[in-house]
Amino acid sequence: MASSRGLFFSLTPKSRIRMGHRLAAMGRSLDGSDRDARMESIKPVGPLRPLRVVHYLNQFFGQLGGEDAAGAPPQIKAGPVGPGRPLASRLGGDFEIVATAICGDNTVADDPEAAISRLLELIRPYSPDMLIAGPSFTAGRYGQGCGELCVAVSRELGIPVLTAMNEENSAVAQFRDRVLILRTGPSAAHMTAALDGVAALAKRLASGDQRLIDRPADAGCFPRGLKRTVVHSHNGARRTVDMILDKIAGRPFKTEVSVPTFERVAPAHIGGPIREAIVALVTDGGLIAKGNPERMPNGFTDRMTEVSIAGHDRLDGDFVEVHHGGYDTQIVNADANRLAPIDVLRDLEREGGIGKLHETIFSTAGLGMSLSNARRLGLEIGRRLKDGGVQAVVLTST
Amino acid sequence: MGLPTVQICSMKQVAVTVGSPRIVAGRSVLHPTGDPSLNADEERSLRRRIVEDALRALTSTGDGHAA
Repeated sequence: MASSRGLFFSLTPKSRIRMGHRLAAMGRSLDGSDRDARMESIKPVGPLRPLRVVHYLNQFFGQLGGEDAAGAPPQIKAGPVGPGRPLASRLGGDFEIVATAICGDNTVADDPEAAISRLLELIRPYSPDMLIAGPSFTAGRYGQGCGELCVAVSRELGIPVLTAMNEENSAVAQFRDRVLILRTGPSAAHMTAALDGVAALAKRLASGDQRLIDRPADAGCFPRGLKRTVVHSHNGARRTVDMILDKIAGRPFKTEVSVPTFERVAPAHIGGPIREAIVALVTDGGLIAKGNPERMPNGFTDRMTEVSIAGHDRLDGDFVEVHHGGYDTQIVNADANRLAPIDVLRDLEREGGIGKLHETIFSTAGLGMSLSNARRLGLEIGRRLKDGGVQAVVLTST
Repeated sequence: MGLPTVQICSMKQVAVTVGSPRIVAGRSVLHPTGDPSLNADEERSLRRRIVEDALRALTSTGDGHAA
């Protein structure tokens, strides 16, 4: 800027006047004397006090125990615990982890509403400015706890929240539309990198970085699938025709609507011969217990039911019926084995064609089911079948 | 790791698009493992055949389709 002062003195009177007009239009003075005042105004102002953070951990990272402590009740401790300490040092002096909320994985998975409600009660007195949950890596129940708590805290306390997990965590699909989730490696072996990422993300979140909302994928987070309204200079009809003309002419074009891609899951393999396998029947054709005691919807649902077939050699109208709004159920209501072939599976079980038929049928009505509900129910059914010792599944779809 | 699964369905294209790994043709959307136009014995045999196809598919690696 010293050169601008030198420039001033080298200008002819006429040029000085012209330069003065141009600089004045920019809010600047001709002799550069405004420079020092402007430099002062762009010095960053730090926060008046450290940002209060509550950290959420499960029983393991919260140092209560392993799977044996998975039933631990919601609790809270002052200050950082376990990985909260290296997190605190990465966050630095502008942040303070004022408390660590801890809950057992089973406690939160078995009754999320009660657990989250209690955790909120414990967290409120600490008046946090931000919640950080996890990282939970691939631990599904822990991930679910993190997601549920983030949603509740965001809604009830109105503060920014963030969590971190691996893409294999079933909670990603469940929460990524509502919660900012940082991608991490698959296990606690990747804790160091995960905490680096969490601290960096927390700082960006605290600074109100709009790009985190617009393009979370650019910040190492899972895309949220949010839509924003933008104003275009041309309407959709014009843009579509332009796109078609480009496509026909072989010019590159960018689609505005992408078709959803489905994740490719590697098929699981059966571990032994089918004649020794425990096989379960699952259906999306809307099989229910007779009388619909659980009030299962006939479509557009997020629920499933378990129909017991213990002691039954076939399905019959004494104990089951079919309830599905997407097809005419008359034929399967006349004989539900046409939907879930229990009679034949019992024959095979007796003859030794399969090891055993599982004693319940998992069922839902698939009409209009959202992809996220389908994923969630599928994972839940799979988990419960696996816990029940099932080794193979026959799924009938209408 | 999940459970090996076979899907008996009639809308095969939907299953293929979604990535279902083992697909066996059901008799109809309205009755995947039955057929009201057959008599009781014939229907039981049909059902048995479809279920056996499905169980055979369960032992496959998961990238083939049975008719």
